[in-house]
Amino acid sequence: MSDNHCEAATPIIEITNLVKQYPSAAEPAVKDFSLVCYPGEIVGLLGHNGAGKSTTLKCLTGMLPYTSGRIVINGYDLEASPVKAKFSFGFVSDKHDVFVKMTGIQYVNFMADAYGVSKSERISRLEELEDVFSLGSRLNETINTYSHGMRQKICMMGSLIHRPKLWILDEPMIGLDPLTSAKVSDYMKTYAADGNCILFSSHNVNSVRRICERAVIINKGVKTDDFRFEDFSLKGDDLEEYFLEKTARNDGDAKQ
Amino acid sequence: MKRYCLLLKKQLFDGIPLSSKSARAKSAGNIALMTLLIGGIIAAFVLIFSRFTSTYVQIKINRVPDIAARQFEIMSIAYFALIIAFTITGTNRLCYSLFENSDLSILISMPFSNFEIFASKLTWVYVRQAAVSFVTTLALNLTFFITTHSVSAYNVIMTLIVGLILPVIPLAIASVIVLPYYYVKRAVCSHYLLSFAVMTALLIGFCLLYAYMFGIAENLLVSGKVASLFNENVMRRISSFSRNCYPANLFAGIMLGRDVGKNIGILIAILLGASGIGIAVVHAVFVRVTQAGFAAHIPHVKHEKLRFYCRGRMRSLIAKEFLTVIRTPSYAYMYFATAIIMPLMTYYSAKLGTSLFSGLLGNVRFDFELCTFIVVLYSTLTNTFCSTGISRDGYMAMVQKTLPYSPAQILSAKMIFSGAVSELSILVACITLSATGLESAADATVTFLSASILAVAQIAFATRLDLNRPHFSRSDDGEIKEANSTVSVIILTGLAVSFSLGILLLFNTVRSLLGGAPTDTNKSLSYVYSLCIPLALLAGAAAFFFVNLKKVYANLDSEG
Repeated sequence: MSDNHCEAATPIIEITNLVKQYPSAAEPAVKDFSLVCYPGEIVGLLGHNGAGKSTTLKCLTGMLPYTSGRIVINGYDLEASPVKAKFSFGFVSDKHDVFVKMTGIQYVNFMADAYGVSKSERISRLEELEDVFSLGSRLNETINTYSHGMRQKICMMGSLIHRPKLWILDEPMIGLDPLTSAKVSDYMKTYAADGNCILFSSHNVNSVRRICERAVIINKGVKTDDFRFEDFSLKGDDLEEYFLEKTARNDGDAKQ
Repeated sequence: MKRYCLLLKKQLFDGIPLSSKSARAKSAGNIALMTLLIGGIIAAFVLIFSRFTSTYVQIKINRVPDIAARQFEIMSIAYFALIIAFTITGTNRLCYSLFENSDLSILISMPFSNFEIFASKLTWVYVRQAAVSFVTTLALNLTFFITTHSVSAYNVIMTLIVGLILPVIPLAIASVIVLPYYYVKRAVCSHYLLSFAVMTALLIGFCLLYAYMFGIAENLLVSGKVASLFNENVMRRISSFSRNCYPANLFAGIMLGRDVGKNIGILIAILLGASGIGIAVVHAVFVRVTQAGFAAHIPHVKHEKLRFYCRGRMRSLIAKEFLTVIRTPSYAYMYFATAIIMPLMTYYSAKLGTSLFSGLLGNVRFDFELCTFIVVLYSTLTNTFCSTGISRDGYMAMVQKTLPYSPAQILSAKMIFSGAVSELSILVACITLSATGLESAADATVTFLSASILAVAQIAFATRLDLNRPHFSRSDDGEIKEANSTVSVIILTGLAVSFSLGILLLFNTVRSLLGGAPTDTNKSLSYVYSLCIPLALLAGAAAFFFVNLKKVYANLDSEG
C-alpha cells in the first residue's frame, strides 16, 4: 500500500534515506527511512518498543543528529536552517519533559516567547486549549506538583501555543485519562482539518486506527509499510494481525 | 540479612558507578580531582591549626601556664565542632536518603521490610560519614600531636578508632531530628520567599562567623599571638565550656589519655543510648513519613488570574534560568552566595594581606598586585556555579534542542545569567577595596577589568566543559545534589590561574625592587600583566568554546 493522497500539495515533512547509528550500537537504530507527509494528514508511526520510532522523531525534531540522509520540514532543511525548520513544528516528547520549576502559565508564556507569539494570540489560543486540556487554576501552580497526566497536558499546550503547521508527538496518549484522550483525538482531527499535519508515534494499534488516516510501520529501524486506512478497510483485514505480521516478518517468523 | 546486603550493595553502586569501563574511568577521574582538592584543604587546615595550637597552649591564666588544660580545651572544642558539622551533614544526608531519594517509591513496593530499607540507608550514610570522619580526625589528631610533640602508638590507634566511632553520635542525633528537619525543609522550600529569607539569614550568619574567624587569623598571623583575643574572661568561659561539652570532651579526654576507662565507659553508654533512640524513632515513623511524602501536595502561591506577558526570545531564556535558580534553594544559595559573600571575603583577605605584608619589601607598595590576586582568586572560586549550567536542565536539555533557538542563543543565555552575578560581585568587591583605601581607584579599575575578563573566560570554559561532559541528575526535578568532576576541574583551574597570576605579579614587584626599577614602570608592567594574561586566557577559552560547538551541542543526549 502506498500514499497517493495530497501529492499536489507542498509536503510538510520530507525524510529521505534517514540513517541513525548510535556510537555504542552495532546496528543502526534507523535504516534508510524515507517518509513524506502533507498538510491535513494525521500519520501514525507504528512499531514495537525499540523499533526506532522515538529515534526517528528525535532526528526529525533536531534532538539527535543523524548519520546520513536528509530531513526537510516545511521547506527548510533541518541541517542547513535548523531554527527556521523548528519554528514550523511543536513537539511533545514521550517523557513529558517540562521546566518543572515553572508554573503551568509560566511554561506556556515561555513557549509563546520562544515562538514569538503575541499576547493577544496566546490568550485566545490558551482559551482554546483549555477547552481540551482543562488544567484550570492548576496553571498557576508549579509543574513539579503536577501528576504524570497533567505534565503531558501542559507539554501539549506548550507545543501548540504557536499553532504549528506540524505537530509531532511521541506516544501522546500514554498517561491521559479516557476523557482527555478522546478530547485530544477529536482536537487532532480538527487541527489536521485546518490544514496542519500531525505525526505521532505509538505502539497502540487501536489508537492509531481511531485517529489516523495513514499509518507507517517501522520495525528494527526499517520502514516495513506505509498505508491508508481507507485502503486497508476495503480489504477487510484485521489491523492488529496485520501489524504483528508486518513486524514479525522482519524477524524471520512471519505468520502467513 | 541477605536482603539487607542486597540493598546496601545497590546503595554502593548508585553512589559509585562501576558499570562500564568509561564509568569507572570517569569515577577514577572524579576521585582523583576530589582527592587533590581535599588535599589542598587539609594542607591549609594543617598549617593554620598547627600554628594556632602552638600559640594557644602557651596562653597563661593569672600568669600561670597550663599546657595540659589548654590541650584539653583545643581538643574538646575541635571535637565539638566536628560533632556539630557531622550532625548537620548527617541530617541532610539522612533526610535525602530516607525521604527524598526517588528510589524509595520502588523499594517501598518491593518485598523488603521497612527495617531492611531503613538499616541499609542508615548504614550507607554512616559509611560516607565515617570516610570523612576518618580523614578529618586523622588530620586533626596528627597535626595536634606532632605540634605538641606527643605522638605515640596509643594516639595513632585511638585516632583510627575515634575516626570510626565519631560519626555514630551525630548520626544518632540526626536520626532523631531528621523528621522535624524534613518537614521544616519541605515547608520552607515550598515557599520561595521564606526560603530566600532563610538563605539570606544563613548567609549573614556565615559572614559574621567569617569576619570573626578572620579577626582571629589576622591577630594570629600578624602578631604571632592570640593572647589579646583570649583574655582571662574568655579563657574562663572556654575552660568551663570544654568541661561541659559532652560528648566532645570525652573524645578529647580519650585522645589525651585522661580517665580513659571512665571516658570510654560513658561514651559507650551514650553511643548505645543515642543509637537506640535514633533507630527507634526513625524506624517507627519511616514508612508513614515516606508514604506521606509521596502523597504530599506542596502548596504554592496562587494568583487568581492567569498572567500573560511577552518577553523577547533571549530574555525569556534568561528568565527561565532565573526561575530554575530562585525556585531551587540549593542553586539560589550558591548563586546569591557568590554575589553577597565574595566582596566581603575579598575585603577581609585584602585587609589581612595588607597587614601581613606591609613593610615586607621596604617602601615598595604592592596593594594593586595583592588586591588583584585576591579578587581573582575569590571570583574564580565562587564562579563554580557556571559549571552546571547545562546539567541543571536535566531531561529538558533535550526538549530545548527542539525549540527554535540556535545552540549559541541557548548557551549565551546561560552564560549571561552566570556572568551577571559574577560581574556584579566583582564590581562591588573592587568598589569596596577602593572605598576602604586598600587600593586606589585607578588600581581598582584595573583589578575589576582583570577579574571580569577572567570571569567571562572561566564561564565560557566551564559551560563548554559541562556541554562536553554533562552530569544530568536522574531525579524528577533534575536537581543536581552533588558536585561533579566539572566543578572540581573549574575549582582547580581557577586556583591555578589565580595563583599563577598572583605569583607573576609578586615576582614583578620583587624583581623591580631588586633591580631598582622605578615604581611607575613596575606598576605599568603589573597593569599589562593583569590585563594581557586574562585577555589571552579569554581568547583561549573562546576558542575552546566555539570549536565544534554545533556538533557537540547536537550530540548532547540527556537520555543516553
